[in-house]
Amino acid sequence: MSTGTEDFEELRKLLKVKRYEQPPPGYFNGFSVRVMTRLERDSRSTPGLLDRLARTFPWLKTALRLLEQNPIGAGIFGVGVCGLVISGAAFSQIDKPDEGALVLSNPTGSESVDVARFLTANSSPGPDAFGQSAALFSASNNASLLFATPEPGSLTATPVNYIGR
Amino acid sequence: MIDPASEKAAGGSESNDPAEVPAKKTASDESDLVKRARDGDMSAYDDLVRRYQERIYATIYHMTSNHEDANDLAQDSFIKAFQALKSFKGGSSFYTWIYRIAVNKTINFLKQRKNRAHMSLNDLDFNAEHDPDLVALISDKTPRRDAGLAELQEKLNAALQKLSDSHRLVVTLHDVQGLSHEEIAKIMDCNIGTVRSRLFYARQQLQAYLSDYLK
Repeated sequence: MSTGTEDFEELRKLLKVKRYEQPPPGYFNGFSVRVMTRLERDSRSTPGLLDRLARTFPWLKTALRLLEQNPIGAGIFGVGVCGLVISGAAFSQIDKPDEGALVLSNPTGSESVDVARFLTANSSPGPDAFGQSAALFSASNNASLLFATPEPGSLTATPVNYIGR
Repeated sequence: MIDPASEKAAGGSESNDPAEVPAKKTASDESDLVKRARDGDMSAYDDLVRRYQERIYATIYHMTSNHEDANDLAQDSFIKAFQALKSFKGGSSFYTWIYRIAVNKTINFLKQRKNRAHMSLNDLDFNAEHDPDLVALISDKTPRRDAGLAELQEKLNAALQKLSDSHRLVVTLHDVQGLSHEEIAKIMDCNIGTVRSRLFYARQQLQAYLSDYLK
């Protein structure tokens, strides 16, 4: 491979045209002023959310630039994020039926009664964390009362004082 | 557009030649300006901008063949350089560093612009009409004797835009701006062999594109 200048002498002469290309007269007189003005303006303005995030996480800027330069990569990334969101939503729906069945069947279903009975049967007779015995809750342990519609005025609230017990 | 004396100074070439003493002084001035600018002295940074604005603008302009784009990118390069000044360790000269910033910004811009290349050329300096090499090219040696300088300028820019970004950059820095292979290798962060090989292939391609004007 020859890189001798004599091979491209004519081309180099032709390329001299580029050296004569000049910006409009006086362009460079105001160039540095424009740069300094922009710098001052930037220093006065508060950084945006993206800028603040990019300062905290420098890799974020690189990642965004890469995505910006590579539309296919950005598309794949977008599809991946959507996939994660959809699969997350789908998995959360799979877990819900058990909870939903309990809640929905509570008012009338027999299953809720079974659960209540189970809780009553397995309740510990010993004192709880506040030193109250299970007997205090015996009335409310009745499953039929738990889900029965209370009569108007039958619900009363009694203030409880835990100090000195 | 290029001042070889200041270029040598900015390039930081080491020599005991007494003629280069002012060059070393300029280099020390430069490091002083950089230090002051890093400490927030805006007038020092203004001096740095004035020192390199023409060369940075010219490099970007020759890469984009568009004055408006070159104007925006040159400003952006100096702003980015100021913001990143704290990270400048002085391992290379400020000159090489600002060049790298400008070149990277330009190449990123060109990647995005790819499909909407649009030329907005600067006017030729009137001295071009008196350049003996150019006069010979447009009158005696080309088969198209009526080709004017403006047409030649347009064809040349169109041919340059056909080159890949890295090939165009090497031709711009070496054949238009007059930088040495070593300086280009530092700016492009590659070895000198790569610069030489890119220059060779770029010239070969240009010669093919501009064959009408070179025979």
